Amino acid sequence: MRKIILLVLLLILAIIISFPILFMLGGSIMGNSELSSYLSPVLNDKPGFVHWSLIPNYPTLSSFVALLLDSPEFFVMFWNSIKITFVILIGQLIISVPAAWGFARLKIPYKNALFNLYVILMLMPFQVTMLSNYLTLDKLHLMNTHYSIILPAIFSTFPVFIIHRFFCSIPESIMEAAQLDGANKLQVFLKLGIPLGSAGIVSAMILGFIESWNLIEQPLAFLKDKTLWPLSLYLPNIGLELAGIAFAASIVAIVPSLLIFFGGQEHLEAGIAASTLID
Amino acid sequence: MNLSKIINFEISKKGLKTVQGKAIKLLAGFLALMLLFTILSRSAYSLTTPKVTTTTISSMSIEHDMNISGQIYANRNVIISTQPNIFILSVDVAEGAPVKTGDVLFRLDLNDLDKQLQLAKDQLKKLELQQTDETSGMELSANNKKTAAERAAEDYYKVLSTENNNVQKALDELNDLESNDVNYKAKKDAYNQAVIIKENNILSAQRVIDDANSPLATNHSAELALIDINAAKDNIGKMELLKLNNGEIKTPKNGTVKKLDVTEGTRTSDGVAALLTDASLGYCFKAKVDRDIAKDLSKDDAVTLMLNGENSALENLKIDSMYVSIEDSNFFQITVNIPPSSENPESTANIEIKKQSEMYSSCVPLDALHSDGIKTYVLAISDKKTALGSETIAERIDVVVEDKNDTYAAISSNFESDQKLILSTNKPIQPGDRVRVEEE
Repeated sequence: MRKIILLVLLLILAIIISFPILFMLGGSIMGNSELSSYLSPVLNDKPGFVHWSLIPNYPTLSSFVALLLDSPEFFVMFWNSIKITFVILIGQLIISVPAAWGFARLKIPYKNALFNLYVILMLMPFQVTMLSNYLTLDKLHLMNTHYSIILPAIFSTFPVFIIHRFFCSIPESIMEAAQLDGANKLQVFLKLGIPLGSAGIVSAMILGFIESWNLIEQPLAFLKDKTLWPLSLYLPNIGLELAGIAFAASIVAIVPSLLIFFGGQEHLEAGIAASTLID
Repeated sequence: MNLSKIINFEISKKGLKTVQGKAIKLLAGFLALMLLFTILSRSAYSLTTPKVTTTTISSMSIEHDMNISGQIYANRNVIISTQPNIFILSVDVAEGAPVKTGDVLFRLDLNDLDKQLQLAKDQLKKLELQQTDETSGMELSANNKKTAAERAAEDYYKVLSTENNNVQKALDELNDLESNDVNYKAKKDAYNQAVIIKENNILSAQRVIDDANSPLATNHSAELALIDINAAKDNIGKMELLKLNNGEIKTPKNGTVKKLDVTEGTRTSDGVAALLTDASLGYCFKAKVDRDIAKDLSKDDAVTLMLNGENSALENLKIDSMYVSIEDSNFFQITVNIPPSSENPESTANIEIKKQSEMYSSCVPLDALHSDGIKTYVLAISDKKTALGSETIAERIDVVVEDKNDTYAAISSNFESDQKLILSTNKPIQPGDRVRVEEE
């Protein structure tokens, strides 16, 4: 009985939490006239209040057709997002994994102080570091290029923090046993550390993907040329007359994140749990 | 985390069939689908982009070729008339025919002319006799009146003398009697009667004098007869002249027969027998033009006259006058004088006028102009930064047309010298639409 009540309660909460997705799904198959009638009070300054229907009166796929066949700029931004995201992920793999191993396993003077500095930097919002980033990128002549987004993200502290937790959980005795067998430090890292910490690495990649896929502030601040904009900046440029396309674009934009999430769901749970433990 | 699981961690060989595997497969499929849609959307974008041809602004003057229809009129007409009521033997010209000085227009019957002449002469004689009778009658009346006046005067004096004597006699007889005489009263009555008779007779005699001296009524019969005589003489003179010319009516000047009111076999009438244009004073082309056309014309503009139905053209003419039409103020009347050396009949004609306007710095072909009903505008090529890079779009620029003809228009607006304007397109376009410029 308790389980049923709990289940019902959780279902209700789940539905409520799913409302934004359901709104988006319903709006993506509505015609423009129906959307205008619902959204005019807020987007056209008409009197009255916004009202909405989860199930459209006149469903149509015209928004998807217009988006996928008549909006080439959407695909430019989509592939920009793919490029930025995957280059960031590869960069983070190359940079963050060894950094996390170093913090977890190596005996470096002032290692803890440095790691605490990492954590402090990780906690700082973008607005705090934006100006210093801007000046640095400008000096490096990287403004208005994808590298202005990619390079700071590659050297992000968050994946280091996540992977570090997993590397810390590997027992020291395994390392010692490997060293006794003649493995050097690089072999221990490559053959033992990475496989044993793969869960953390995967969860860091997934979180990194979601973060990179939804970047808004950095592209707005550092990219002036619209041909370089990622998909996250496509939506703010659409008004009431293209509301249907806006909903369809939202659905298409959310698909990669959903698929990545389903692909690494197990590791993501572990990663989120690890990220909440800040020693 | 279980240590054995960490040590024995392996990637499951059934990975592709698990949720993770399916998700990865779906992601790959999704990316492939997005690639396909990328290509399709680019193709659709290319197909739906209108292709346009462009032109640049040029500096030129606008040539106005105008063709105005009108009518040629003679500056003066010559009226031909002749004696009425004479038989027409033949008509030698037709309406519209050109004639030279001395050409015979029509011929009168000489026999009939002689008859008419004789009749006129007889009429003249009658008038002369009539006039003589009138004159002598007037003289006789005057003499009779004079005689009557003289006699009346003589009678008056006689009566006066006689009556005075009678009254005196009566008075003397009365004075000879006493007042108490029995015949006194009778004598007195006789005296009074004599006085009364005297007054009456004198009055009658005076009246006769007055009647004799009254003026005669005016009588202009003689003068009227004289006038008729002179007219008849004039008539006879003309007929004698006609006879001298063998009954031929000739044209006195070069020109064209505008109107002919004589017919073979009929008699001449009292009015105009023929109307000729006088070529010696030249012709005048007149036309009515709309105000919109007239604003491009001015006095002394060079024109070329094209005669309808003929291949000839008269050049080096000019507009001699231009004024607002009296009938309709929305029209202007223009006239072009044609010199007298030309032998042009009155007919319809056209004038061609070529006028060059001033130099305009911004001229475009008419095809580049558009209108939304309120303003005139051109569509200029401009670049716009979009997510697809630099796109070419059609930008609307409002202009004011200063002058135009059938092919070019001079516009006023601030343009750069290399500004490209859209001349033609394979699809309808609106301001702001993306376009693709076709390279020539």
